[in-house]
Amino acid sequence: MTMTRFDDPAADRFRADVSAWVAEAIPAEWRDGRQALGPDDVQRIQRSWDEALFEGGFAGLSWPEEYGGRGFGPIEELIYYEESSKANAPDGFGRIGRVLAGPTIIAAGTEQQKKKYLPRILDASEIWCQGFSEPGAGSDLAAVTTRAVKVDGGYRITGQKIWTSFAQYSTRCLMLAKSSTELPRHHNLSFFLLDMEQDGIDVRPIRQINGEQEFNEVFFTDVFVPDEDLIGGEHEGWAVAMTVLSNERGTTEAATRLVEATTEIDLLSSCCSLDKPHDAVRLQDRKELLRWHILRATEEKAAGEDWFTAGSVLKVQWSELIQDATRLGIDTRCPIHRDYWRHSYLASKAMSIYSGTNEIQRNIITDRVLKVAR
Amino acid sequence: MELREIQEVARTAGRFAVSTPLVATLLAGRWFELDQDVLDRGAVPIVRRDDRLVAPYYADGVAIVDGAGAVVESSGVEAAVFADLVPLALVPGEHPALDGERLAEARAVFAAVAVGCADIVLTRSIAWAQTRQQFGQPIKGFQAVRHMLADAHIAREQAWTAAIAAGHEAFRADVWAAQAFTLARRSIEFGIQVHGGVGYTWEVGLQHHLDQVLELDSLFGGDR
Ligand SMILES: Cc1cc2nc3c(=O)[nH]c(=O)nc-3n(C[C@H](O)[C@H](O)[C@H](O)COP(=O)(O)OP(=O)(O)OC[C@H]3O[C@@H](n4cnc5c(N)ncnc54)[C@H](O)[C@@H]3O)c2cc1C
Repeated sequence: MTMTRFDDPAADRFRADVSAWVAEAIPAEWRDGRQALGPDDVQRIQRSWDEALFEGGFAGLSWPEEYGGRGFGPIEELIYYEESSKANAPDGFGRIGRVLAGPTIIAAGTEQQKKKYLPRILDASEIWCQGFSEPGAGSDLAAVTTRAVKVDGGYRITGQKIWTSFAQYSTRCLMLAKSSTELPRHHNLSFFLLDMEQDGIDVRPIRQINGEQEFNEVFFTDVFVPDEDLIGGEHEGWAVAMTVLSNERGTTEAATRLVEATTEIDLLSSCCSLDKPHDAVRLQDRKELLRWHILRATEEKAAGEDWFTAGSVLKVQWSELIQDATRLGIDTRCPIHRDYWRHSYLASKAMSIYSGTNEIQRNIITDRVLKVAR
Repeated sequence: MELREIQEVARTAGRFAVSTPLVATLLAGRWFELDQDVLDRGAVPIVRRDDRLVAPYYADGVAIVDGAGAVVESSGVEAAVFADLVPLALVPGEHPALDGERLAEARAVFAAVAVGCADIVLTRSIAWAQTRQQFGQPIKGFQAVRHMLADAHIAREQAWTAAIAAGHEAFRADVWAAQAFTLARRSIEFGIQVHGGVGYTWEVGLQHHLDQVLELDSLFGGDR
């Protein structure tokens, strides 16, 4: 049975279960000393968190049971994230699989694709990356030029992707490529579930402003994808990609960001060097507002409302909130947390860029939500 | 009536700048349903503020009685007397009955009115952006203008979330209402900017909606 409202009495029981489990499962080194951890430690903890989630039965809460999920709805999913935010839990490493690949396969995949890929996302035995952006196709995603040429039994992929997060750790890629040079824009792309463990793929990490190397350039030279790994129809990849992006901008992504916002703002509130505590209180209030906005959107989604109308508002809200929080972190000039704030301040700069820039979100709001013709 | 239903009505009332004590009346009706004993005989508490009597509604057959039950005013008397009445729910804190749970509900409902104020200004701003021509084209074609409309929408949606949250969390309804008023105000500010010089004129009247939000904020916005 799936809940459609937060005041469902079952929600309280579920919440109690989650919170008890999370409190128990969080690694002590994360709970007590997150600020001191380096990127390698963080990744190790995130990977072990993926395993813990799976073993604890909290992976794939809203995914169908026949593919290893729990068969609940978006409300249970959000309750999980709310409770993990209160407890300052880590995020898993397999987030692209859980937030993007999984929902896309559930929405558009064949039975065979669901059986093959979904369980491996849940137990984190496969790590996914998202091969959308290219040097010439960022905000204008439909302009991708990586080619998919039809051959016997599949396609051959050649081209360059960029900003591909976690590609160096990935076994699978959500690949958007141009399958027709004749058909019109938006009807000329195909979407593939591409195997990253084969020849012809060259992954080159790119150093980010925060010093980490999470994203990459990826060169594909004559790489094979079998027909059964085409998702959605041939040349219908744009429509599938839009599904991915509306998921990315969806409640799940926002809920994971709520977890991050909570961690930053809690640290800020307790920081010894905060000379204007009032500012931190305001951020706490805004974080609560974000939480309620997710609740509201999730309830509307469970009631069958179009999701995209809330998605862009949420994206702008979480990214600006976290950016404001880390900016204030820098402003505290705290001697103890200086390195931590410098790192998360820089990391937060990416938030108004990825998942569709905040300018693009504002375009979507005026074009599609307010429906003001250009 | 459910609080949420009253909030929907309140939002609509805000949209049309309904100046009668409709919203306060609905609230009073709700409290009466919930608490027949306290509000005996269909009476609701009123307050005397300065020299004015403050009642939630008036209509034929409504009487204002003092604590001992003696009739002070009734709607049988001159209409002029009632012209001075302002809604009960507009005076939080000054009336013993309007505190706790009820004050929280009043905050949630008047926060919804403020969202309606933001709604109407956004609707008018969109219409203006479609009509007003500069550089040989409607200003709706300029991305800077389009983004102001988007920002007005974002703030308005956040304000509505805050109003809904105020209705669920009585213990921090003051904070929620304050957020709703601030965000509704922010949304209206974008709307005024979209209007240009015309938006600054008394005649066009955007200030009425802004004033209403500021007034409600001063009454229900809490201490922050
Ligand atoms: C940390 C990080 C991780 C990422 N991970 C991935 C990933 O895993 N997979 C992947 O495919 N991509 C990823 N991206 C890429 C991301 O999706 C793109 O950077 C983003 O879509 C913007 O594209 P761009 O960088 O080409 O910028 P551009 O599109 O060139 O934009 C430059 C500026 O112009 C503005 N602009 C562009 N068009 C318009 C318009 N029509 N109206 C108004 N303003 C406009 C933008 O808002 C921006 O401010 C990642 C990016 C970052 C920063």
